[in-house]
Formats: sequence, structure tokens, C-alpha cells
Amino acid sequence: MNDLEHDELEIHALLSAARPAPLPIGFRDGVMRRVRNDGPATRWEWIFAAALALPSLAYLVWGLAVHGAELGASISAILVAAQGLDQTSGADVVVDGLAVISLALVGIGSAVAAHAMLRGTKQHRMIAR
Amino acid sequence: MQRCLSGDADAYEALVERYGGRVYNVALRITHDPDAARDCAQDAFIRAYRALHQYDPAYPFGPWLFRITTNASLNFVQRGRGREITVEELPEDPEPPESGPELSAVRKEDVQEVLDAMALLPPAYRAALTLRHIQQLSYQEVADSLGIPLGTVKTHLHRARAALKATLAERRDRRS
Repeated sequence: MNDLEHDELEIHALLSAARPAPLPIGFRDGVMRRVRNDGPATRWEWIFAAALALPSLAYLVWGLAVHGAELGASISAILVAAQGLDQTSGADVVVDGLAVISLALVGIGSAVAAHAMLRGTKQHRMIAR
Repeated sequence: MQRCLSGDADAYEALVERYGGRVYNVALRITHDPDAARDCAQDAFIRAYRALHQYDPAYPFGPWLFRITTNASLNFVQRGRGREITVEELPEDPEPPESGPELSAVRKEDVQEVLDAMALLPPAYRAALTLRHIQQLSYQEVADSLGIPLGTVKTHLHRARAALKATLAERRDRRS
């Protein structure tokens, strides 16, 4: 330290003589345990979200490709009925149980992915204050 | 450092090893509580690891880490969870070999007296004194570590030293 000023010499001499306290036992291991646990937690969340959502999304896309025309016709019929343009027309939609379950799984997967994403963002932003 | 920045946890362990003592001692002098200092120091290392992508390698790592440490410690103190350390809780370290028993006893007493007086100062002053005189950083590094302008650091340190001297003089007067 070569920028010491005259009026700080006395206090500096005393404080610089204060001996450092030894690190508590297990300090480094405690830090490294938390550091190593940090990454994989988020990674597992992403894997879990993908495992839930991707097969369900694939099933929904396949369903749209196969039954897309029927769905389109059903939606058109619903719109016509809702507008009351044709009092004689009826509207019905057939949804199979697997599609409902797939939608639910995509929703859960999205929630898990959002949590992982938020956690990752928080970790990147987390600097004191 | 490059390995750390690429997320290598093993490389980070070397940094924890290298800076652990200094980080812990900065936290200890600000919080005056060994348990809190351990928690704040560990927290500082975790926060630093998570924020490594924000660190600019063009600047020294120490002041950046000390900034996180002082913020964690000051936050702890501001939450009102700090407590005063007792003399018995201060670690017993071996005497330096070059000092004789009589001299070291006087010296140790003086050092303890100034540390006790320091504990009575506001946390921001304690942080500035710790970084400047115990960790022996330059004024600019103290300013970087505390995230305040250089002029403010000098003002804090000037007032802190004046308060320390006044406290010490008062104690000596009372003794004599």
C-alpha cells in the first residue's frame, strides 16, 4: 500500500496488525456443495419438463394433422351457431381423452419449464442488492 | 479464471480456497458475529458464482468479490440480525515469532482496543475501514468494492478514523 496518507498511519498500523480469523471448518466444502448442487437442479427441471411436454406435443400435432379438417369444420360450425345466422344448424366437437391428458401434460411441462427459466434468470441476476 | 467463467466448478474451488479467508474476515469485521460471517461469506461465494457472467475479467476479481461480500454483510446488519462479538469469541492465533512476549501483549491489547472501538461505528464505516486497513486495498479498490464514489470513501474513512481516535482517546483518559 503506497497511497497511505499521514493521518491514517496510526490507525493503519493497528488495524493492519489484526490477525485474520481462521476459516471455519468445512467452509470450502459447504460452498462447493452448494455450487455443485446449483446447476443440476435446473437441468433436471428442464429434462422433466421436456419429458412431460414433448410426447404430448407430438401427439397433439399428430392429432391435428390427422383430424385437423374435422376440427376446423367443428369450429366453423360453432362460430356459425354462436352468431345465430342459421337457426337450424347444430355444432358439436368430439375431443378424445388422450388429447385432454396431453394438453394437461403440456401445461404442467410448461409450468415446470417456466420455473426453471425463472430460476435461471434469477441466478444470473442475483447479485447483492 | 477463464475456466471459472466457463462454469468449471473445480476451478471455482481454487478461488474459494484463495479468497475464502479474506472474504470471511471482511464479513466478520462487518457483522461481528462468527456464525453470521460464515453464512454471509458462503452466500457471497454462491452469489459470485451465479453472477460470474457479469464479472469483467479486465478488472481484478478481489474487489468484485468483496463488493458482493460487503453487500451481503451490510444487508445482514441492516436486517438487525447482527450482534456484538465478545473478546472470548475472537480466535486465538499464534503470536508472530519476531515479537517478544511483552511487546506482543501490549500490541495485542492495542489492536483489540481499536477493533472493539471499530465495532461501535456504523456498518458502512466498518466496511470501509476493513477493506482499507485490514484488507489493505487502495482507495479506488475500496470504492469499487463498496460501489460508492471515491470521494465518499475518503469522507467515510476520514470520519471513521476520527471517530476511532476519539473513542480510543476517551477510553485512555478513563483508564488514566
